[in-house]
Amino acid sequence: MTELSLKKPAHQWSALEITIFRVLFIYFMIQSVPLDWKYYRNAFAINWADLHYRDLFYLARYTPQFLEPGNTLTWGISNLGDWLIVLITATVGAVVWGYIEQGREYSERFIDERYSGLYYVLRAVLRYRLAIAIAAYAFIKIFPMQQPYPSLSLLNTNYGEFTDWKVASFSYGVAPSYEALLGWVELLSAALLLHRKTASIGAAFAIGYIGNVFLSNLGFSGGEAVYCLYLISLGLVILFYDAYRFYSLLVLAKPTAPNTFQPFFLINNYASRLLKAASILIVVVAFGYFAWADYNHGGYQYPTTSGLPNSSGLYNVKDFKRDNTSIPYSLTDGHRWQNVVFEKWNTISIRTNILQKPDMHNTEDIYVNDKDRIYESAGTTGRHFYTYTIDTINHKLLLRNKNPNSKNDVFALQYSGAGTDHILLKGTDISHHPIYVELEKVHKTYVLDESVKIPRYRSAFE
Amino acid sequence: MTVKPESYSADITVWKGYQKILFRISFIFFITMSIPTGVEWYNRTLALDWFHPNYRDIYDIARFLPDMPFIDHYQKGFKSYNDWLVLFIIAIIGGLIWTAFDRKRKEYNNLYYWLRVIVRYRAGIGMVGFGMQKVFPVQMAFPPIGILNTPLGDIPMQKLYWWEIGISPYYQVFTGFVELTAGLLLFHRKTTFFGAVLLIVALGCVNYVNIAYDGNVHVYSTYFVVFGLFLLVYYARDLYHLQIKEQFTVPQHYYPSFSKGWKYTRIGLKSLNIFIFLILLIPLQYLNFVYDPYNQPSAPGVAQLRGYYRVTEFKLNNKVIPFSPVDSVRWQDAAFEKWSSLSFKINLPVPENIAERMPDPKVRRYVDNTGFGFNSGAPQRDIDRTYEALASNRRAFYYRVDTLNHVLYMQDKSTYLNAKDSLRSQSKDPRDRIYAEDWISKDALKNMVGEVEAIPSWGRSTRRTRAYSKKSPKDKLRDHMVLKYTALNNGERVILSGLNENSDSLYVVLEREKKNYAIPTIKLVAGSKTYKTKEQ
Repeated sequence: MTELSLKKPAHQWSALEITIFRVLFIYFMIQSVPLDWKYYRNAFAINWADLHYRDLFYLARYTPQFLEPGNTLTWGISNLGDWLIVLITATVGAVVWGYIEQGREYSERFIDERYSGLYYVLRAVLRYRLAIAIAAYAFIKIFPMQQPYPSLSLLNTNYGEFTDWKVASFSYGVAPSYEALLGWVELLSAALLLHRKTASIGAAFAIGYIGNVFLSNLGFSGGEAVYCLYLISLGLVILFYDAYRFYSLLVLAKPTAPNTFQPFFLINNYASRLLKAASILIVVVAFGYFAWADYNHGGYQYPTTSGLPNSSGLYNVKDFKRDNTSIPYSLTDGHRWQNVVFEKWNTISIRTNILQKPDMHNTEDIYVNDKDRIYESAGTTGRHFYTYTIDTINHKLLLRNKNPNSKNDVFALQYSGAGTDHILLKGTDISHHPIYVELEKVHKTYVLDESVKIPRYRSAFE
Repeated sequence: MTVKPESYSADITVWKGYQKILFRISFIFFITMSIPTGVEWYNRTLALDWFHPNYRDIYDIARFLPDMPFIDHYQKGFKSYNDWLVLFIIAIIGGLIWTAFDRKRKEYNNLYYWLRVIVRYRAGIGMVGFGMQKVFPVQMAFPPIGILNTPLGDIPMQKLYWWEIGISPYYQVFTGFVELTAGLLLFHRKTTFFGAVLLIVALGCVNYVNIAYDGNVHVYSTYFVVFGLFLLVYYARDLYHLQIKEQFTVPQHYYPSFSKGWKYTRIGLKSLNIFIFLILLIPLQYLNFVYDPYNQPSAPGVAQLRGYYRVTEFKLNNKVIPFSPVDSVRWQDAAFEKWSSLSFKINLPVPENIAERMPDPKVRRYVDNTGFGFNSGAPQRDIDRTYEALASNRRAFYYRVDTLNHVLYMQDKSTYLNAKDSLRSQSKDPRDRIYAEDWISKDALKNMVGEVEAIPSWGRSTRRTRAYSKKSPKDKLRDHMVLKYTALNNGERVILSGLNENSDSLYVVLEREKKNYAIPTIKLVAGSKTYKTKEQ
């Protein structure tokens, strides 16, 4: 047996360690404690009486942003330029800090207590920051909404007509149980982060998980790569504290000293635990409740306003007249529609031979209002998506293209036969030519839907 | 600052009673799990031609699952784990008998050490095998032209996940490195903990993906996760005491002392392992990647025909059929892949509720055609590599080509499980002449590249050659077509004429369409040295 020395001397902080620590301390404090005034502007813009998951989501996705003006609708994502500004600020701050402490005589123990204490504070702040950030994304997967099942229009869009980011999204959307599982994994790592002793294990989990998300963002042209890096950087600081311990015990197989720093709280231990438990409960309950509420309303990706009654489905364009001349089926004619999808909500999508310039939106955003919900139309070229309002007295649909690249694509159509298998549309297209469209419903069974329905745990092929 | 006055060190010289019982059961269980118990493994390993190996030969050395005699095998559901249950019961009974006969024993440190060695290497070679197929990204293929022009709703969900990874080869390479790293870390005693953690994370995902997306390796991936968990148990106590109890922890490990003979045996075995699973496997996997990517057919397609085509004219028995999206006979498009496949879109409405009517033979026949059936990486012949082909409202044919007379001899990629179809080859009806044994005449054969020789010699292997030399009974169930092609203006316009699968005369004019896909094209393409000519 090895003779053990159980009295651990104070950790001797070298001058270099102290300097690096000062920079990192200020850097990560600025990165994780909300100091950006825009954050509060947005927070005050929230209608707390009518709270939605989106409000919590953006509060949890804080990153200091100096370079982008931002808007009150969404809280954006910082870029590497912002990081540089934070780093410069931190370096200047560290120099000032060093200047203040210069020339003062501190005992080694005092220095250890001060810096170990600050290290503890920094880790505590980062642990909670990271846990909240992860939890915000966990709940929209536990209630599988982040990647929804593809809508009818998307089912009728060719595979090659989606961007890679869109493909990645609906590939998860078809398997909600997998999406939910990923959500639970995220929540587990958030929970481990909240406890001091399991924080490093939680951080390792989070780094692995978010590292994978980071590479998916790179591999599929996602827009949240920098945010992933941000979260990973927080995780690394948390893990670093115990990293050598793990290495020593598990790889070198040497006698290993545990963490010896015990935080000292101003209020007593039970009160602080109670406070912690209460705040966790509030966060979990609030996140869980509002996510559930959104899920119950059909998620947040697709609009919720009802469309033309009893008309949802795929329609073949049986006849198409432009300038009162019938155009036969054609895969080259620029004007002829090929097919039309009426969604359950107030969206129709039209397939023509002209590709839509895609909306390349590639970050996760949650919108309350239907007009902002662009999931169905983003990242695809194959169909033209229109949101519409119904004038039930004059039987008119007022259509507006959902794609920001086609803002001027607005027109009106007179409809008849809603609710039957034959719908007639009449009106003028955007270049003011009269059009007449005869739609015939296609009762189609989708192999994708069927393959999803196969019971997973029952033997289906015997 | 307080220092806890305790330290922790496990006593490994005397094991507790329950530890000994658990160990005995685990020992029997994991040893049996780690040894190939099926005859099939021995047959194929003995048949391996070490002079012309295929990457899959090496992969297959590491591919086996417990195979208990006298019980049925299942592909899906909990009952597909039935071998394990039998094995587990045997292990419990064996462990208890062992306990009765070995009461005086204080510890099993030596046996435990060797059990961990076996488990480590068993898991390690499997992980290296998994990882290599993605490090050289062939496991998930980029969707072919036909699929790029197929509506999302016509694609079964299993394909969606696999193709999703296929469109991002660099992401696939990353996932491959995760698995490969796990394997390499498991080959090394000191890094076992991290290897096991990586294994559990990676294969845990693979496992759930296979359940959620109806894949077919859920049992095999669970197998590795169980191995990984077993390896982690060893560290759990120490880690708990260091991190949660915050005690000074002195890990206790047992290492056997090696005699000289053992030392050389050990070095020899280790080197053999490294030789087979790294030094040999890497170049083989590379050759597979560039010459014979196993999830897509490898024989190159006719160079000037490649691309996506509109069907501008369609005549059946000399009767023009105008374009209509609802017509069930007329082709709506045609896609010639860079390999020897032609697929075309056609309106074949899927029957309702096929998911609930699986046992119905009519539906089953349909489902086989539309891609519910998943095929693994095993098929060697191009015609059996259906991974690229299956989607509803689209039919795909494998073709061989008489390059002198410009004739395509086409066989359906899917096989209707209909016994009647197998009789077509003996039919006396002149209409069925395209189904006769000699449907490709000797003269035509002279103008064809052999199926084995279709890829450069570096890509050929005994495994592949053997597959082509065997007659597959499934081939009698395939539809045939024989079509003469005329490629005008370097394939911008193509005329196909001949006999279709019902021996009706077919005349089709195709116009090549320059497609502008939203899906990004990729640079890291499998099969680059086989297909050679650039994609259209």
